[in-house]
Amino acid sequence: MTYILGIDAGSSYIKFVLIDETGGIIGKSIVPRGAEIDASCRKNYEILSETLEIDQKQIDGIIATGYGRKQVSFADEVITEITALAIAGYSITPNIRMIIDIGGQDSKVVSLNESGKVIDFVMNQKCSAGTGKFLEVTSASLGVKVEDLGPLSLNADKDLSLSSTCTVFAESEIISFVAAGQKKENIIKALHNTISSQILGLYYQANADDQGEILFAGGVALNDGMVTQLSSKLNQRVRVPENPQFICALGAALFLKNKQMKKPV
Amino acid sequence: MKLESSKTILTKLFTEYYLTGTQAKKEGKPIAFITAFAPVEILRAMGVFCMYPESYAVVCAASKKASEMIHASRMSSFTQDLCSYSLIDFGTEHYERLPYGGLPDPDMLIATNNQCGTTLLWFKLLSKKKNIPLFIIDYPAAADDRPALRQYIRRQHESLVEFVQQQTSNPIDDQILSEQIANSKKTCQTWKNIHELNKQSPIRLSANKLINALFPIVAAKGTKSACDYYEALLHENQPSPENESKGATRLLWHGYPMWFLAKKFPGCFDTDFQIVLDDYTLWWDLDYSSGADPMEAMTKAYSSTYLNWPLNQKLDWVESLVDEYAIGGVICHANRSCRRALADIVPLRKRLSKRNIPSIIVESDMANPDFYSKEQVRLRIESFRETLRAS
Ligand code: SF4
Repeated sequence: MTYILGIDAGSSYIKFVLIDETGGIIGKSIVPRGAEIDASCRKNYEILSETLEIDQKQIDGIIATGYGRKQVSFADEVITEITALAIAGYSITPNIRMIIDIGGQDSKVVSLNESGKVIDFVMNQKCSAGTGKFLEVTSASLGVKVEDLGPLSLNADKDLSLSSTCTVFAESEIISFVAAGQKKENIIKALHNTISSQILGLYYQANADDQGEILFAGGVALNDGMVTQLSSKLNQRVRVPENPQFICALGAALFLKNKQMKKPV
Repeated sequence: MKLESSKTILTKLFTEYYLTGTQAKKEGKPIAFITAFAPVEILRAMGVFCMYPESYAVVCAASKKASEMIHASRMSSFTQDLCSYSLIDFGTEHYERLPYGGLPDPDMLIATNNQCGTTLLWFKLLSKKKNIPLFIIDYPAAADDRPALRQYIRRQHESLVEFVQQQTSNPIDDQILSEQIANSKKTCQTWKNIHELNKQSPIRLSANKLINALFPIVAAKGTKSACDYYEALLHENQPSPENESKGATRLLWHGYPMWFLAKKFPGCFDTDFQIVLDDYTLWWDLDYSSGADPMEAMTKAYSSTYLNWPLNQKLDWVESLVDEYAIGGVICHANRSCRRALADIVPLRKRLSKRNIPSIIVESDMANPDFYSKEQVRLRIESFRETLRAS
């Protein structure tokens, strides 16, 4: 049996996905990025192969994607997240026409045609509005763990609105809300609403072919509150894949697998 | 007689422009600061030396001084959200190491609204601050087929003549005016012909070279030297007979270049992809074709600038470039500075998408490097290349 390793060196976390010849995921791991991307990737590659008891000789190819993709010195190939997202999305279901990926540093909306080809993509402007970083910073100022944001927001009973999409300004607005005695749950819902509005802007810009399913990828898709808000803004329930945070790494691995299959023997 | 090379003429034009400005000031000759699409021909025909603060801002950006100058503009409490050309100009007051020692103080200001509203406010401020007389020309959009509007513009041009005469006591020299218009017309035509060389593959002049050839049409349009420069450039770049296609995907850059970059565009293209055209350089190809009367020619030329066109006309034009230059993908520069230019990007992408022409948006600024994130731009362009490759 041979395997392919996909590494998504993101701005906050590095994700590893190992697939077999059928494209099935046989192992995965996620670690905080750390300062040395290459060293961190190597170390965690070792750990993953040891845990899975796989001889590295059986690994037929390594591919990197994500913001730090070029720093993974032992990768055989690099691709951008746009291509990786498209491949993974299409492998989940060919009905996907849009993929929304909210990453630590940027958010992307990719539109696909019926054969899975990228027809357009849009990324957020170069600031942290509408990204995972926005949630990370603002949740810290509320003293709430990122993983608790979703469940808490579902208990909101009042609509508040944040006037700023800027992380820094939003943080001070949150402090004012807290000082005014607003419930955390309502403030969190307002945060989700702000991000969803940003994503909606990108969604309208990414010229979609026709209506199809919308896939919500990236770690933020684990947040049920965000899923609910985004679905309500888009008037359509977004589909959250299993392990949404590993979608880019999976797409990269599938890209390399497809490429190797096409190679003349 | 050996013809001068385009390079020699360009160097001369450039140095002369800055030296003449300083010299004119010393000799007490009238100097005007004018916006990019002001009817320079009238001013020259009245003995006024014209300088373009926008073009100077480009020089400052290309010599890597923009960031410091923009920071210096803060000393006059300007918000950093303004157009960076204006901020660079406002920064000159508080900055010492100015390229060419800075521009001489003008005796009059001429501003037009055929590109944006920013220039009007910018020049109004200059006028107020330095107590310099200002003349504003209003160019309504789509004036071409409306005689009343054409008449309105013509009357403003005539008032400009009166204004300059009041300031300088110089009458207008009709002979010089006609020559200037003839030169402008020729310059624009040759500039267009030079671009058209790139309809073939391989292209003759990269988009970067075209950017570097822009100065004469911006700052010396109407002069014989500008005509000679473009004639020489065209002559030096005649299509070679073996013009077989090299198969690279031909890209259009939509909007302003990035003046602070050595190559004016982000350098993340490999040999499979080539920017064959930046439509910005063609914004300067004004249409002087309406009639033999110089005033009439200027009415059309200056009212129908790209930024003054109605949205659909802009989109039709870019679409026609996509067809004529066999463009396979479009990179739209969302230039933070220029609201006018930003407005057409989203509708343009929708149009292109309907025709299956892939496009992307790259966010930055034409002159302020603080708004340029190399990695983010690289990621977008690399993703675009992958998308084009897969399609
Ligand atoms: S860049 Fe745009 S806003 Fe600035 S002067 Fe030029 S046209 Fe006006």
